[in-house]
Amino acid sequence: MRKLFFLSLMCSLIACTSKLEEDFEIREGLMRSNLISKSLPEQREIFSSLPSEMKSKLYCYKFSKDLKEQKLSIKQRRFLKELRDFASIETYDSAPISPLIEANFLSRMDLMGWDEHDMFKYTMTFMTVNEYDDYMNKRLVE
Amino acid sequence: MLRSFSFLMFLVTLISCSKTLSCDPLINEWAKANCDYYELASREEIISLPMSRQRAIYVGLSGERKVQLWREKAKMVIETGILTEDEKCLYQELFNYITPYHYETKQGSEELLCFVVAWKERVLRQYNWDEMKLFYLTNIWMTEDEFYNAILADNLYTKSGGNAGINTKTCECIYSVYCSTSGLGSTCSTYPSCRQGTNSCGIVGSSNCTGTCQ
Repeated sequence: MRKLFFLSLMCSLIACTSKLEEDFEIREGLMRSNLISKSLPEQREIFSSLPSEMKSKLYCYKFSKDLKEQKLSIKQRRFLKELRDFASIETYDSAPISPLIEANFLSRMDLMGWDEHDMFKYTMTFMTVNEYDDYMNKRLVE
Repeated sequence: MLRSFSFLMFLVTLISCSKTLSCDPLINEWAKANCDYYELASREEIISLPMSRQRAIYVGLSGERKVQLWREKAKMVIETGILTEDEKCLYQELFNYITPYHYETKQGSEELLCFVVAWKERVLRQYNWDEMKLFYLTNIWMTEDEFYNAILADNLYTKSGGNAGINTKTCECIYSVYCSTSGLGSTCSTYPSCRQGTNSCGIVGSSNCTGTCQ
């Protein structure tokens, strides 16, 4: 039993930290790059219809990319790694998560030195931070 | 650096009711109008406020009431038994040190700042406290659970409402920041109620959506 647990933990870690694919299929005919070019409400709607494996994969990709691309403090890095582990298939299988868990994560906002917009782009969208910034810039231009 | 030093700010804040209590103009107005009331209110009444309002009220409290709030919290923490005897002594030392003078005068606030920085260094050196533990024990005048409840009750996130007028729309948000970011409105409101069922909101899209953007 213990072996099985460690094996599955290792598998999820390897899956999440192995070389990141630049783009991947979300569902038939829809690549990740297409998904993030849609509006936030459309993204959320599609996301809600996806199986747990794909939800986990999307967030795993996001956190891995942000950890690689963003200039983060040690505390922020630790927090994103914690969230990357949290965004597991099991979490989505048992969603919704408890409001207390949600509040625990939210309460870190001050500790991270973020405002609510930072909190949103780092923890509540599967777009990477750079993609989110591009998205917002385009919205401002429009 | 650091908002993690926000406990220094909370401990040292020197502002009274007559000054700006919150950057949010609505909350600022509300806090100014209610500051005198909360000066005399019980701890329970203060901690039942949403976080953003509590912060504003805290800023406006007298030095004496702030000291009381911290000491009441310290007493509760000690009674939970989560600290060792040595940790208790050190923890109590911090709250025995503070007096209204530290909140009401510039010199006092500077002295407190020096004390707190040295105290924090000692804690981190002597005990295995991480930033989170330090935060919950010293940054906020609430216990951990009370803090979560205050955050969840915060208007900044979900605006509460009654059940009247059931909306046929499916819930789409939990926090107002989603609405403003999506361009769907400025507030995530639970009034009128919406159809729940999608767990694609909040942190990593794993919480129930509870409101609609307005």
